[in-house]
Amino acid sequence: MSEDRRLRDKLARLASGDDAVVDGARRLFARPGEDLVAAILVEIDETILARRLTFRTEDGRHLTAEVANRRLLRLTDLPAGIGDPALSEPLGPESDPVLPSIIAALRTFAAGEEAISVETGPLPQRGQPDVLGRSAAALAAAAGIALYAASPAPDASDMPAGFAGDVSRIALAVRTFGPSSVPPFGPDADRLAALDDSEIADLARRARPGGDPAGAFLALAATGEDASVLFVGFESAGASVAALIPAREIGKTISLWRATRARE
Amino acid sequence: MRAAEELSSFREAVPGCRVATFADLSSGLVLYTSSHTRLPQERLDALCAKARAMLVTGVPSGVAAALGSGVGSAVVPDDQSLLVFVRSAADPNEAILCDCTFETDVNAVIAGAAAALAAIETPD
Repeated sequence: MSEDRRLRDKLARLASGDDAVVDGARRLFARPGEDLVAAILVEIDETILARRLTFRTEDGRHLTAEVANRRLLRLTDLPAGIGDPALSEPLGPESDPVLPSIIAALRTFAAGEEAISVETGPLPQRGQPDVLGRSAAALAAAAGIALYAASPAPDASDMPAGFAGDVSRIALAVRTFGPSSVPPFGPDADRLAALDDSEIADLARRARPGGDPAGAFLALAATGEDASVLFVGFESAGASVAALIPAREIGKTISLWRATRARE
Repeated sequence: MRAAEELSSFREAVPGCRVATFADLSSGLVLYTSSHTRLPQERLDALCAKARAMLVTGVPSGVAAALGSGVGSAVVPDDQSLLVFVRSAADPNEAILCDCTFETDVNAVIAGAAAALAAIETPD
């Protein structure tokens, strides 16, 4: 994990509006191919001042994490049936054995949720447990999660510029066609392997029959609920970007495409 | 007239959805339309033709491989609109075709159209 990666991920979320506060809470989404535990751990890792983070599911279940200095001090308010009361004990350096149980409790809490909300409140000095807590990195290691490096996008040095680079942060797979083509990348890269230039040209004709497709796009969604969407954006000079995205990201992807075009 | 009512209810519930039509893609005919203003037939025909190009014309094999299934819905921009086409799960020849503003919540359109199609096609 690098601070550079952490900051770039944070900037991407700010740019996408994912960090918008609504009714005092922000919504957290799982990254493609991961569960929401990674998002919870990122929240802990981004909390420096002493704070009480209350995570809430759609059906109102909630748990609270007391956090300071990017470290989890303890979990409180565990929902009934999740873990045992010992999980609410303050965490110190000797707490390695309990970390897998904490991760399991977080996984159970977030299981089946598409998103959870998080509210942040102060953690008064007198309410703080007198412990060092455990770092988000240690919790991530216990969970087998790479907090930032597991993003579907390649590292900055390999990342294509413009829309392809931007959309790669939310896409399952991205591929570019044309003069500066880039092979498929991302967790589901193989799903774009069969697309070829002639098919992209075919889609361009469908998107803008008889005209220059530059600036146009199309998004084709699979049948079934919460299916994947193939987004193809047509740039200039025969260059195109194909991105496979989760269905819920379709609006954001269109906004991203339009914003990129407006900048160019 | 149940189809017309379902169509209007759906369109009015989604901010930014200016036109919603219920169409038979096999014949290229618009069967019902809900919109604020009366639309010229040429506009409806063009909407239907574009939907057929997206949903009916053979899906390239690379697209099918990427999606893992057929195409259930499509979104494509027009001059000043975002066009959203949603196919019926029960009868793939039937679809709801929408003309929306670019600010419209696309997921809400797709989910709402799918629900409206299900309601239209459910026997009384």
